[in-house]
Formats: sequence, structure tokens, C-alpha cells
Amino acid sequence: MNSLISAAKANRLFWLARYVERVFLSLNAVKKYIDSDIDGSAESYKEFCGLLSIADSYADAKDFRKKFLYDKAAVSSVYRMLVNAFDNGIELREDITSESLSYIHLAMEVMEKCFVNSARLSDLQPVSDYMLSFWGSIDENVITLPKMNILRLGRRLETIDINVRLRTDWDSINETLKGGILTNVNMLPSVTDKDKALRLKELVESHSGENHGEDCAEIIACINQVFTARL
Amino acid sequence: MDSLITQRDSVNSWMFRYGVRFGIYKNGEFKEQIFPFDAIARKISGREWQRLERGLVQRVNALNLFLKDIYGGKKIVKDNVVPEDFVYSSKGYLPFCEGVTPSKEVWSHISGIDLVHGKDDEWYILEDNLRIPSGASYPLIAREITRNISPETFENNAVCDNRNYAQLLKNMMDYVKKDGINVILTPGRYNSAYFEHSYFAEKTGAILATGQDLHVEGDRLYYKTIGGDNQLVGVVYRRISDEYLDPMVFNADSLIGVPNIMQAYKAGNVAIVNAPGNGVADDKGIYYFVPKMIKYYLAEEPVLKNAPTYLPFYEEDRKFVLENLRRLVIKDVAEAGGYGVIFCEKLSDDKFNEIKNLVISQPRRWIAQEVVDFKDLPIFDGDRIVERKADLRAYVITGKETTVWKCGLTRFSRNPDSFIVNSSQGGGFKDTWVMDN
Amino acid sequence: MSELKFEYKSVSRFSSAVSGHAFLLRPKPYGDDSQRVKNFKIEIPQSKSLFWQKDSFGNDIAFSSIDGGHTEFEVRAVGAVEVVEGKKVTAFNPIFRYPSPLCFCDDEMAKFAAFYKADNAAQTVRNICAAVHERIIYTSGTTCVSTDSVRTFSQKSGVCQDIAHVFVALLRSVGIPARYVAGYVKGLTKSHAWTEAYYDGFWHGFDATENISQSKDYIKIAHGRDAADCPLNRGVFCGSVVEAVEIEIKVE
Repeated sequence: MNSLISAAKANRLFWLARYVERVFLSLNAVKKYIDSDIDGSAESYKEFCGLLSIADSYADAKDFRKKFLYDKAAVSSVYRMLVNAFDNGIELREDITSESLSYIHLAMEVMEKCFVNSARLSDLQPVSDYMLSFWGSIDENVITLPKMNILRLGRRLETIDINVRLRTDWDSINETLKGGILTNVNMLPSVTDKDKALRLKELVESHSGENHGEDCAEIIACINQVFTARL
Repeated sequence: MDSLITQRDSVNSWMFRYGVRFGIYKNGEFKEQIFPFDAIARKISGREWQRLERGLVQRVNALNLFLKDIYGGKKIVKDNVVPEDFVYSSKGYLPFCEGVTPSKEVWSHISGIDLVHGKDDEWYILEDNLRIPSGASYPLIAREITRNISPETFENNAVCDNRNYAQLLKNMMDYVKKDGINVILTPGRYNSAYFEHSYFAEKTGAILATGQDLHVEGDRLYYKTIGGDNQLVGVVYRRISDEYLDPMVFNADSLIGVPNIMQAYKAGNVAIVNAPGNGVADDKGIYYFVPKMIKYYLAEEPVLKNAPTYLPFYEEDRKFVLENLRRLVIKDVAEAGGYGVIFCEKLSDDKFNEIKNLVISQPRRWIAQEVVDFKDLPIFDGDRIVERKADLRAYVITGKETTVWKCGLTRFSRNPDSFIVNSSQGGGFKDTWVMDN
Repeated sequence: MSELKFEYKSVSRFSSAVSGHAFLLRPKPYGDDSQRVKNFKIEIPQSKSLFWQKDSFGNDIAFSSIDGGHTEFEVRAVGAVEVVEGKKVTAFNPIFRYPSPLCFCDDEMAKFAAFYKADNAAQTVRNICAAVHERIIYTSGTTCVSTDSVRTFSQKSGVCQDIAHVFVALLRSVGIPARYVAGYVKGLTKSHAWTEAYYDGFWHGFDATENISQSKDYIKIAHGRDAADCPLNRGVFCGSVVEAVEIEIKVE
């Protein structure tokens, strides 16, 4: 397997990783939100949208639950995230292997079926399973280090992005990030802005949950600048 | 085969899982559909295969010699075996390739030869595809899947393994390549055969690139990487047709090609698989001359027959064609695949006379063939087994040697009345079992 | 023996910077027995290198690419040709007998050509030249670079390239091999196109736009089956820009 990467491929690897992770984390997040909503107010979906910067164009909580999952037109629906993962993945077969790609095909199939029946969230569990299988396949198959690093970077940046927005308990996040791709983030050849990468690392390591608003904004800004492949 | 047949539906779902698709444009919109797999394999005995193998190697060797001759000394034209009309009027003939000798003198690296099995038990060659024959990935992945879901089928049948196809491709590319890496050049994911491009890249370890990822600097071809390094390219297995390959030389509007790639090729710095200009040898008009080429270049009798073909260009043939037109098939030499094929038997009188006049006024444009009554193969139509027309595309790889892949693409038509089994016109495929006996 | 000096200059200006610019030019006069090229020089300030090859018709081609951004692309070529009188070009390629992508006939054209057929090829060529000159009115803006002979013939208007195409197509249909020629002419500031016909064992130049045979004032740059075989310049680049091209040719 070759280790050469064109700018277009680097970009796709990065966004493939981000979208796969975003699908997985979004399904988890919406599950938690629905659970808390059982005892909450009818408006609490608005807060959820606010945290994830999703434009609130929903009529009510019911409308939100359906559209956030299945709306083909909305940029931020889970459906679209998966389509985006698929669009990037399909052009990376030879880089990520047919096996890894097959989990995205399988997830798409589940998604399409659920879309037709507007199925319940619990019916989408296989999508979450396939996303995890995808990562398992990436780890199991021989993928050259430069490509692996771009995938890992995309995945972890997405983890940070979503969790920092959702104000997840930060200590546990920090624990998962330790020893990972972020440790040497500024050494990766695909990282175009080394200073921003270092700053990101510093922010993430020092972030404690206090000063949440400010940190959050800067972290997200850094994430968006760390990796920009010149096409 | 029983266990395979009971699990036939799962083969298609496994193919879905691996994204085995084929794109088509309907009303201007791109759609991907699966290429339906039929579980009843076509069996070809070891002995029958040996004969096919001999005939195919012979044919492809002669076609390679023809291409070498046409873009060189044109001896075959000077010796009046092939009229120059058929060379210079062929759309596939590229003057730009005159005098260019490809790496290791191989023109047709991957040849897809279409055959049918007649009811007289004879195999007939229907068409040679020496440009970008596609389709090998389908039986390749189908075998992978069927071996997995029904190992007992293969335990009980001595079927030659077909999974060396990628290795054949890779060896061929390594053999013809100049300094540099192996690249598969694709028009992009909206091409009908994109699955195949990416699958072969995965299996051969070549880089899958679009025109944008490649560029010519000086007279060398490079792959641009993210670090800014340029990687020299030694061989391009291109899945882009000649006319779009280089906007500086061919179609100036092409956005999928690589500007000046033809100069790098001409300078001998990169091998192109298959060589540009091959269209002159798989033209429907040139087809008529292939048996003559075999005698001319190899001094051998052709092992495999053409379907009986007449050339209205020759007066004697024209007379015969006009007298027997009702029972013949007329093919427009400028059209590819299943297009431009006219079965005169079914034409209305008006249409028939129109065709007749066209044959008289533009004899060079047509070939006429006897309708070959070819064998039906059993296929599943729901739970029922029905008989349908099927052909076989054999894949012949020419590198250091000329090798026939021990498999092939057996395509069948869905429509019981159709003789046309082209994948661009619907239908499905079967595995082709070359038996080891 | 006479000598013609020429200067060619083309400047492309882009409304904003372009990159990945590849180009291919046929900037050098055709060298053969009847026309010798002297003191040819070319300058392309934006390109660090220039590579040369010959295409299969014997035309010289120059090509290269410019990776970095630039807003201007300039080509300057100068030189002279010596027109050798009494020398004939006999080298023949049968390909010029056959229709080509831009030069072919429909039934009407074939009849038209047959009507002008004379006892000998020389007269036939002169007849057809005059007939084409009369039929196709020189008009710019009614055709484009890829307009074919049938289209031009039926709309009866076009520029020198189209007129040459119709002439070539008609000649081939009456069995006279013909080819398309691009070049410069004394007194014109743009490139010109004319036709060569093969009979009596060598090539003869005719300009149907002017209805004359090729004189000493013509510099042949390139030839092919039709214009698509021998464009004088082609280029592709990345960037969504407006390109303004100025070409200036001086022959004396």
C-alpha cells in the first residue's frame, strides 16, 4: 500500500474521519437529550440546537426529533452527516480498504430504510455500531501512517469540538485524549498551521470547565484552522 | 452448486455491502445501480478453455502486431491486406500517435474480447475491445463472495481460482513502467465504472488519481502530494478515453485529462495503459480483417472464428449483402457497444429500404453479419429458471507474456427476445467457471 | 530566392492570477525543401523552460507549464524564412485523402465538388478554389474554432479557417488529397489559413479566401488534416478569470 497523499485525498481523509465521528457523537448526544427531555420542558431542544450551532428551524420538539435525524435538505441532520462521510469515503477505497468502506455502505443502507419509515432513534442503533466497526476496521487493516494520522486527527478534533460544545465533563475527555494524536499534533506534516495546533493542545490540556464560553470559542476556532489542505 | 443457489440473494447483498455498483445516466441524472448477479455459473471445461486460450492469445498477439505496424511502417496496408480506407477513416486512428513506440512495444495491455457460444458448439468472436475494456472487477469480487458464502460449492467443483487478476495487472504495469509509481487515472466517482477503478487501485496498490492530481512538468508526469513533493509517475492505467486524455492534443474542452501527458508519453517517460490510438484496431470495420492479420503476421490459421461478416466496401460482398439483407445484422462501424446495431429481420419496409440505401450510398460505414444463433444459458427469474442469451468477455493481459485470465464476464440479457447483452443496456452477469480438468 | 522576416507577439492578460498553466504552441515556421527557417528565436518571460518535439505531421511543437500564479502570459517569436523557388514538396501521406473530424462532405457538397471537376487536377483545384471563394462570404463571428466544413458550406459564411476547411473537404471528395495550412501572410496582422492540394506529384498551395495560389508572401507555420490537428496555441489553467488575448503579427 502506498503512503502518498494528494491534497484532495488528505482533505477527504480528514473530513471522512470528522463526519464518521460526528454521526456517532450526534446520535449519542441526541439520545441523551431525549432521555433528559422525558422529565424536561417542551423547549429544551432549543438549547441543544444552540450548543451545536444548529439553526433552529423546527416547529416543535417532535419536528426536531424527526428532522434532526432525517432531513435530507438540512446541512446539520444526521442523515446529511452520514452522506458527507459517504461522499468522502467512496473516493478513498484504496486508502482505507474495501472493508472499512463497507461499514459506511451498511450504515447508509440502514439510514435509507429508516428514512423511508421515519423510524425511531432506537432503530438507528446499527448506524452507531457501524461507525464503531469502521474505526475498528481502520485499526485492524494496514493503513499507512500518514493516512492513519490524518484520520486520527480528524476524529479527535471532532471529539473535542462536539464535547466542548456540549460541555461534557472535561476530565473524562482529557483522559481519552492523553497519549493520543494531539500529543504531537504540531509534528504532523498535514497540519498546516503549527502555531494554532500548539495553541489548541495547550487550551485542551488546560481546559477545566471554568471559563467555558471563552475557551470553547477559541478551541473551535483553532480546530477550524489546524488543518487546511491546500487544493 | 446447490448451496450457492439457495443463498443467491445474499450474494447481491454482499455486493451491496462492498459498494459494487455501476453508474448510469438516466435523463441526465447520475444513478448508481447494482449489476445483478445470477448464481448459476457458466462452466467451461478445461479442454474447451485450452482452445479458447490459444485462440485468444493468438488474436491479441496479432492485434498488437497490427497496431505496431499501423503506427509504424504500415506494411499490411502496402501489401493490400487491409485497405488504407479502413485505417485512415477510422475514428480510433490517431495521427498524433504515428511513430510513437510504447514502452516494451505493447499497445493492447488489457484486451477484452467478446465471444458467443454458438448452438453449433463453436465459439465466435463478436468484438475486440482494446481501449478500456471494463467489467473484470465484477466476476472477481463475485468469486470472493461466493467462495466465502458457499465454500462447499468450490470444494465439490474443481474451479480454477480467478483471484490472480490484480496480480496480472500489477505485473503488467510493473513490466511496462518507466521510472516512477503506478497510477490508475479515473475521470472521477461519477464515472459508470468508478467502483472498478477504486477496487483495482486497492488490489494492485496503485494510486487512484484524477487529472487534477497529476501534472506534466517538462516532459515528465508527476503526482502532486500534500507535502508539495512531486512523485514521478512511471505508468498510468488510464480509464479515460483517448479523446479526453490530453486537452492540448485531443479534445480541448476536456477537464478530466492531463495537459501535455501525450508529450511525456511521446518522450518515453511514462507508459500509458492501454496505448492511445488502439481504437484503430477494435473498429467494427477492422474486425473483418483480424483473421487475415493472424495469417499475415503470425503465419498461423486463426483458432477462433469471427462471426460470418461481409464488407459492403467490397463489391462482391455488397452484392451479397443487398440480396440477403433481410436475414443479416448491420452494424455502424463508428458506433461502440450495443449501439448502431440493426437487425434487418425486424425492420418495417420503409426502414429496411432506408438502410438498404445507406448501404449503397455509404458502403464504408457498415459491416453486415449473419445472426449467430448462440446458446442460451439458464438464469433465475424470481424463483423460476429461464433461458436467456449470454455472451462472454474474456480478458487478455499482455505484459512480458500474453495471458488469458481464467475467468471472464458472462453477461446475459433480461429480455427474452434480445440478442444484445451489453451491460450499458441492462441485464446481469454470472460467474464464469473455468474447470480444472 | 526571397526572404521574409516575421515577428509574432501574443499577450494574454488574466483578470486575476491563474496557476497550473500548461501550454502547447506551434510557433516555428514549417521547415522543408521549399521553405527554410532562419534565426528563429522565442521568448516566454513567464516560463522557466520550454520543451520541443515534432508532431506526426512534422510541425514543431513547444510546450511547458507554469505552476505559480501569474496574470500575464506573453509569447514573442521572431525569425525569417527563405522561400526556395523551384523546390517542390513531394512527401506524401495518404491520410490527406480521407475525411477528417472538421473536413468532410455531405451529399450536397459532394455534388457541388463533382460539378467543378475538370479534365485535369490542376484545373479542378482552380475551379473549386474559385467556387469556394464565391460561395463562402468572409464574415467573422459566424463560426468558432470547431466549426466543421458541412456547417460552413451550408451557412455560406466563415473566416479563413472555415473557407480552407470547405476547400479541403471538397478536394478530397473528388479524389484530390488536400491539407489545411496555418501561417502568416505579408500585410496581415493576424494568422491566416489556406489549403494545399496534392497533384502532379507535389503539393500546391491555394488560398480560397483570396482565390489565388500561394505567393512568396506566405509563411507556412503548420499543416494537418484540419485545424484541429495543428492549432498554433493551446493552453489550460486553473482560475476563474476573464482572459483577454492580443495577437500581433508582422511579416516583411
